[in-house]
Amino acid sequence: MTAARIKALVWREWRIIRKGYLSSMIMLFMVAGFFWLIRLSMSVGNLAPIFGDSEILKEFGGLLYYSGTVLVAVVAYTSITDVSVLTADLNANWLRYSFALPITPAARATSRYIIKLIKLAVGFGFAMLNGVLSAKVMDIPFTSDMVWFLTALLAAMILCDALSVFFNSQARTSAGLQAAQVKVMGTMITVVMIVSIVRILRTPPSEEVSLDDMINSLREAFISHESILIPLSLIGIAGGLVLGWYFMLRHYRTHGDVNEKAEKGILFSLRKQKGGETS
Amino acid sequence: MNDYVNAIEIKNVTKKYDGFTLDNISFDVPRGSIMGFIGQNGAGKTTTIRCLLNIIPINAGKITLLGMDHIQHEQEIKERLAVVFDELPFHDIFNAKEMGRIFKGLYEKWDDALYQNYLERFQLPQKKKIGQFSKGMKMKLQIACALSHGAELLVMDEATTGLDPVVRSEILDIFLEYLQDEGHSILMSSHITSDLEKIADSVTFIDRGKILVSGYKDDVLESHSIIKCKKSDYRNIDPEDFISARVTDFGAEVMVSDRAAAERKYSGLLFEQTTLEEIMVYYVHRSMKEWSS
Repeated sequence: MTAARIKALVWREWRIIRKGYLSSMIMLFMVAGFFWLIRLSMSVGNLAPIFGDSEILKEFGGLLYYSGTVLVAVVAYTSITDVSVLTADLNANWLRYSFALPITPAARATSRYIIKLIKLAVGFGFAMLNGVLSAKVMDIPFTSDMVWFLTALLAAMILCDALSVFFNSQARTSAGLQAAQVKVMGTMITVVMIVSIVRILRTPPSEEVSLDDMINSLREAFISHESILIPLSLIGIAGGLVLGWYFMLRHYRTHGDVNEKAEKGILFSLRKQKGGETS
Repeated sequence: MNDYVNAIEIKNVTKKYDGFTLDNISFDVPRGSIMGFIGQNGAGKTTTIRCLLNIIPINAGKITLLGMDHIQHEQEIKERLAVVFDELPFHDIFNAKEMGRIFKGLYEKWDDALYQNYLERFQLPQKKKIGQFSKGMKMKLQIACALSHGAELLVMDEATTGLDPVVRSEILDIFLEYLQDEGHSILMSSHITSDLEKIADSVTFIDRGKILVSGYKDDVLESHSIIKCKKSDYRNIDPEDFISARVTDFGAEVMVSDRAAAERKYSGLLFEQTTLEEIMVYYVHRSMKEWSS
């Protein structure tokens, strides 16, 4: 019966996110496809007479392969966040209602993570496809280091998502969810800023740093530490998934305590409405 | 299936918040009956229901549902009970057919044929999005979902609030039909006392976290009475003998909780039949003892 319940919850969540998720994937595919077409046109199509074998063509090709693949991966991976579902659940009062249903906390958390795993698999597949096609369009080999680099990115995104689950699961209102998002974004921006500042401080003042350079240097750094980073990435993926699942499970197990906080808020607002009278 | 006498047994339950306490409450809902759980907004009705469902933990006391401890047998209990809230807790994007599909997976004893039967009876379209439903249709859908998995206990939290009288009457008929099965019980929280007067077997009145009255509805209505008298007569009534009194320029209306004793003591006064709503209002004003308007 637990499997049937998980299946029902997975279907329900899929039904909620389906439209938005498919739209974002189609959009991503169209944007990636648009760049492939431009690159093709620059090398063999109408734009070929203008660009030929120019440096711009090579630079654009590099951008398409490295930055494009990474950006596609990042965008595809970010779809694992379930903010839209959480918001929809809160707005529809489903969360309150669902605690009256015969669903165990483990079944709830597992159903959420099944959706996440499907999205991750699709995101990873999509990023790989983009990488393979970009490499083919540019006529360069698609090497294993890109696969591992995408895997490391996946680990980073899963760990970020676990952080997001930790903050989001404590929210009981849409406003609370927004505040949780600010906390998640704040933490992530702080990390990115620290990394960027370190990178800027290490760059000679005369040298210009493009996005492509940054991603390339990141990738080179990854390749040079491959023996450590590959196992670390795999541990990060497994650890991030388990940690996120645990945060979600804990949230569903201790929902009473969290609801208690929300209820205190409701009582407080009732008292305020009654001009301080306790009821 | 276990045997039990009371569908709900609440014994000395306490739940403390800052500024509000569900204070050592106790009441039972006998199997096969419908209990009206009344009280004004913020009195503690929803908190009690949340405690019942183990949505919030209690600080003290014991809750038994369908003969089982509400924490130890939480999943089993939830399989056998249904909850109807004041607002539809389903997403607007779903339709009735899709909700049936979800509930079929969630409940072991989901009866699809019965669900379809309710949809037809309530004239609810299968494929129309819930977001396009009226409030009455939404409530009917929630009730259809609640009654299609063989629930033995139906817990309703302000379920008829905001519905027009026709829909309310229709829904009350369904509840009465549901109670035709002797194994079915209902706890109906509401501040619309007229509905409860129509269908409830017993009532429990809660105010500021305390149970003030609990018993068979007819007993409660018979034991309480309103004395309508002049102000001068009212001054002769011992404050210990009444709950509160509404005093206006035209006279006084005094609520007593022991009609028989009051009739013996104040034989010259006029005692009138009261309603649940009046009982609720007079109890709410009990701390003031005398009030107007």
